[in-house]
Amino acid sequence: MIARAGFLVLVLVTAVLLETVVFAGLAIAGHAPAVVALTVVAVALADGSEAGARYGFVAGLAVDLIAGGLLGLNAIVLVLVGWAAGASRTYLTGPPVLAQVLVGGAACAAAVAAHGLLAFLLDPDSVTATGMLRSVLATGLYSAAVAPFVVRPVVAGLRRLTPAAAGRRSLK
Amino acid sequence: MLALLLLAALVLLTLDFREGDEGALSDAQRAVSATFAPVQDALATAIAPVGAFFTSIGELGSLREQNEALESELQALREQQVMLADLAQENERLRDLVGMRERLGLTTSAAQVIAQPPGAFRWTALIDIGADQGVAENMAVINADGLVGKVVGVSSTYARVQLAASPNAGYSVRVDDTGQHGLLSGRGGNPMQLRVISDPEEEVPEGARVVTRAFEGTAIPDGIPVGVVAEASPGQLESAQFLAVRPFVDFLRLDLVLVLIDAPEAPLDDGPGEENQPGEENLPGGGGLPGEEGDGGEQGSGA
Repeated sequence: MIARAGFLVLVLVTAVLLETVVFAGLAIAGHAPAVVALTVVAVALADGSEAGARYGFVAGLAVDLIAGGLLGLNAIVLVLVGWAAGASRTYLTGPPVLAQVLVGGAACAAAVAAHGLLAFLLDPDSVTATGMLRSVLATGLYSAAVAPFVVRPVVAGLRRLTPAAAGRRSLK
Repeated sequence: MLALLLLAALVLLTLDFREGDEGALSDAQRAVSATFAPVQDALATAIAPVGAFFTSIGELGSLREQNEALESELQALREQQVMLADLAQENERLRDLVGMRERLGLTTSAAQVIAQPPGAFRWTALIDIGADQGVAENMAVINADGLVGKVVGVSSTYARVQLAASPNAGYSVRVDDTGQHGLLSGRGGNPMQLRVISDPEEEVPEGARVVTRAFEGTAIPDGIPVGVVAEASPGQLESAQFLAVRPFVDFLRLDLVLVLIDAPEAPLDDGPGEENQPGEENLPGGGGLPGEEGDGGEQGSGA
């Protein structure tokens, strides 16, 4: 439990740094992949909707605290992303990598769209329709390309650290 | 669970929205941001070269164009640099000429040496000004270093100058340090020969400066530097009367010169002046000057 919590904290901190520093420097047309949202998708794909939503809440709060903006805005978005990604597990067939790419890309695009919609509701002047559409497409595509490199290791780490897996190791 | 989380997030959002920048939530935000900022800063510094690499990949197309434009500009600047170096040298030569003119205080006309014919005419030079610019025969020609020679033939737009080093040339000179005067003769590529006429027994120190001496009827003004007394050349009659003089002017590298247009006539003097060396009265013709009219040949340069 503690190891798992520590792992998730490490994943979250790394994701925030990657999104705000590393990929900020590798932005394409001003857009970077939503690495934090991809970690939420990874937790949701590994452990289900509830775990994804819980992790999404904490991750969203962390992003709001570190990056600024209204506290709770990213939390709402990532809670919904985590829940939806977890719910999609039962419908995923085919190679895992493909699922990661599709779900990761769609989830990040949805996250940007939800964020833009909420921001519009709070301050209509802060968002334009074309700007939001461009962000949704660019971020979705970029995130889909990066998804296998984020989701796969997080899922693998979580599976290694689940209690069932730990129990199997202790019985050996 | 979902509803609970959404509710909690909504409560925080509402509180933060209502409090604005002054509330506790905003303070907490600032504190966390300040704590995390050094970590972000350190990471940004560490990966800056990597970011620059990927950025440069995206800029390859424009970088190539920029590079080509810069190469062209660099080539043009290099050519300009060479030209500027030439201009700087010419500027220096012209300044030296102006300095010489100011020291003499005479009216001069600048000219470019455009030809130094080989063979029998080796010790003459053609300059690009003539009668139209006020040039006349027997006018002295100098450069920044000293006496170059005198005009021996003139057309409307060109003039021929007999160089002081010419075996046919002779000038009245004096030793600046001792005041002794004598006759200086050119010897082609060898040092000039000075025959001391006044006080020949007085020793002339090596390195003494030799300058022109004005003589009645001549247009060569007094005091134009000619050369320095060198050691007597081997093989010459070693006598105090004959001395070798190394000229200041490099006759093989003549470029810009000044023709002394209004040098005043010298006062009466009882010493010898310039002499016509044998054959000087009729300089070898060979076609005369470009555009020259009249008696078809250069006149011998007289005193």
